[in-house]
Amino acid sequence: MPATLTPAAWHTLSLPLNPLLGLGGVLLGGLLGGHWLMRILRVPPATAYVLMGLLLGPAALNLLDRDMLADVQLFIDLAAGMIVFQLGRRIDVRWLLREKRLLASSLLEALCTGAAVAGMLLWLGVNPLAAALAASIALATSPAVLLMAVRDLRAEGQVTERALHLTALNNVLASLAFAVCLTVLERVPGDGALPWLEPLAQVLGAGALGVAAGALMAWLGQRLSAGDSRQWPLLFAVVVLTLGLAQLWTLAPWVALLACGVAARALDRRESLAEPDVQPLGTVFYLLLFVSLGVSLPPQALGQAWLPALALIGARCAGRLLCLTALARLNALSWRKGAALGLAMQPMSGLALLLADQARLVYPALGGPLLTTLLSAWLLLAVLAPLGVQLALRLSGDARP
Amino acid sequence: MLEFTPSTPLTLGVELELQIVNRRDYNLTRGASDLMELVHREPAPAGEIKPEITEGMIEISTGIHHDVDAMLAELASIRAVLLRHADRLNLGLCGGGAHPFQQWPDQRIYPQPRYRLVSELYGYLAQQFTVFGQHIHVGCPDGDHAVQWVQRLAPYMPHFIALSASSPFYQGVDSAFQSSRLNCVNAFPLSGFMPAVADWAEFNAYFDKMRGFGVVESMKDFYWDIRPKPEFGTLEIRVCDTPLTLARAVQLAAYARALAAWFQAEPRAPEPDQMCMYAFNRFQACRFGLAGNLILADGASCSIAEHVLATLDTVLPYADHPGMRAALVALGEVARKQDGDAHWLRQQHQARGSLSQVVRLACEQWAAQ
Repeated sequence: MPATLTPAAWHTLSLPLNPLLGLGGVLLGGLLGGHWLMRILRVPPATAYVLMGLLLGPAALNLLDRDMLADVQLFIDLAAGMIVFQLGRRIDVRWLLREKRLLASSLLEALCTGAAVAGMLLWLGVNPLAAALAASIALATSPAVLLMAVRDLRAEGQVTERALHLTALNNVLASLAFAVCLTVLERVPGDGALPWLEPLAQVLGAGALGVAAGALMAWLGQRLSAGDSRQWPLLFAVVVLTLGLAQLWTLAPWVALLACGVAARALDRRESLAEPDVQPLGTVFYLLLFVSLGVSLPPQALGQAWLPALALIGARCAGRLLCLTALARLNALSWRKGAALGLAMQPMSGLALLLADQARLVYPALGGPLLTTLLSAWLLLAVLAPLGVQLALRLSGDARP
Repeated sequence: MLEFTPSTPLTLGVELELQIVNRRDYNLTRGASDLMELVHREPAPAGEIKPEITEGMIEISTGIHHDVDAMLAELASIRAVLLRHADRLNLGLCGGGAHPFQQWPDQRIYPQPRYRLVSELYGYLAQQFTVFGQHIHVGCPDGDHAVQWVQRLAPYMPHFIALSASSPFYQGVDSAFQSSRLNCVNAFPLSGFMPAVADWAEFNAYFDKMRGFGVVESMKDFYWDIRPKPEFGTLEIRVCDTPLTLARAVQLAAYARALAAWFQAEPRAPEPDQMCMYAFNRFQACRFGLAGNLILADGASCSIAEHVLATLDTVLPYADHPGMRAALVALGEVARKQDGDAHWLRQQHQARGSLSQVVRLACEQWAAQ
């Protein structure tokens, strides 16, 4: 046994790792370290957990690595799935149908954000198709960061509700825009066969799967009495099933679970289903997701691409912030709350990482410098954007004083 | 020295405190600031819409009315404005004296200096005061009449409590009370009933003494069941839960006016011992509603419903508009059938098994024409 327990020495211990040990390590390391960072740096939990992931990951202490994450990928997928499902449950379709101005705001903010990011990338010399693809990837706001902040700050109010609805919508729009971009790209080889429609089919099919799962959940939920302890296992079981089917049929899991949450709420006329967020397991999901993201982020990318990454973040931030501030009155908000809404929407969704990976396979031009820029922007936002969300929810008065 | 602004006798006005709920699980939500943002954007509607002590509450009030039909029309127009704004914000609005399952620690004080002061002074009582009442104003010709009518109204407070009772559930449980709301009011040191003063001069002497002790600064500091409101020139009945419908709110106002009209037509001193049984009768009304037992000044007893019906017979001749008479007849039906709002809320809970659903249905009741 080595005399001192340096990170390198830790790895020579040859601890017989298994997925549960890995999961426990991620959770406990993230929890204790995150708590420490929150106290020292006074940052929100999302930032603290990501920083802790970075610290424990290969870039620093190397106590957790990507192989270990691969072992616990199942749990990470479940955590992400439950969080997206939870976002879906916060979405009120009837309100969206009534309040057309909110729908219009969603389209406009996506358009402004996408145009700002694409414009910046074009200015940086990226080719138009790659810029469009990257812009679609950058559209989505992180449901996890927003939901966790809402939960931690016990935020209630219009900025919160509108941010959650716009986030759900821009995740769907990002998935659709990305699928359309890929479809256009894949059409170039011109094999004429149906597969070029595959990206779009993956999104639409996922939506259909999610709606069916949500309907099943609502139907089963109505057969349980209010407060029945089987409600939570029912939600969990259907979410896991949906995730499994989405993976099996290579459909977009995010879209499927979002649609599942939305449909479960819309079709649950008796509103008999439990709120998933009240379950203590919710905290575990956030913790696992943020720490694992921190571990998987490559901070070295930042060294190569910090300047274009900052430019990309600036364009994305300005596009979204200006658009939503300008639309404040349309959204029944004061200018201040409009700006707060823009700020609350800044975290970049983990969807970006998945889409970037997918895009790199089909479109190698997205690899290299552009991917590094995207990853760097993602990394910076993963650390900084939760601070913005916290500030936004406090400025708007939505956060509990 | 408080100046009593004279007003046209027997004119009416009401204030209704309403619940603001989310449309997810129908819990009380922080919606007053956002609603007020929209209210301020438009020219002020007739009447008034203003925030209350916590963010899950909003208050509407009417102007001065001579008959209840016009009052109902005005309330309906304010409701339409408020519902339109609430709909944009995806909020629900409903009556009811208490939200069935809100938790008082979750309630946030509305950011206004007076409410902050109340919160600092009363601590958790301020958050617990997230209960919803109807206040009825009746115009009085002068302060002396206001004081005398307040005293004479005392034996009828159980009527108003029982007829308006709509807070059977509190903090997620069936309280067994018809009106649990008044139990929250009782905790305030200046709650209860106005002292036995004979006229406005005596009232002023009492007020000056209390102000001299530093106990009160203004009339707003008295949380009495009925109090004179010198700046409006009215007496203000404060014991009613906010009913589930506008119609019931207007019926209660009509009853107050008919009683005052009777007092005006047949002036006499209050019963000497009437305050001995006030607290007991009040409790009976809160706990059992119209089925409660009322001890009368002569020592006899009867159910509150019986006493309501007998009193309605007495005051019906003083209802000088068809709308007024119809309102009193409708209240008589409630007393006869003993099927007030608290009864309706319990029925919905039994049928649906969920307090969220009860609030959703209460929102539908409130929005119904």
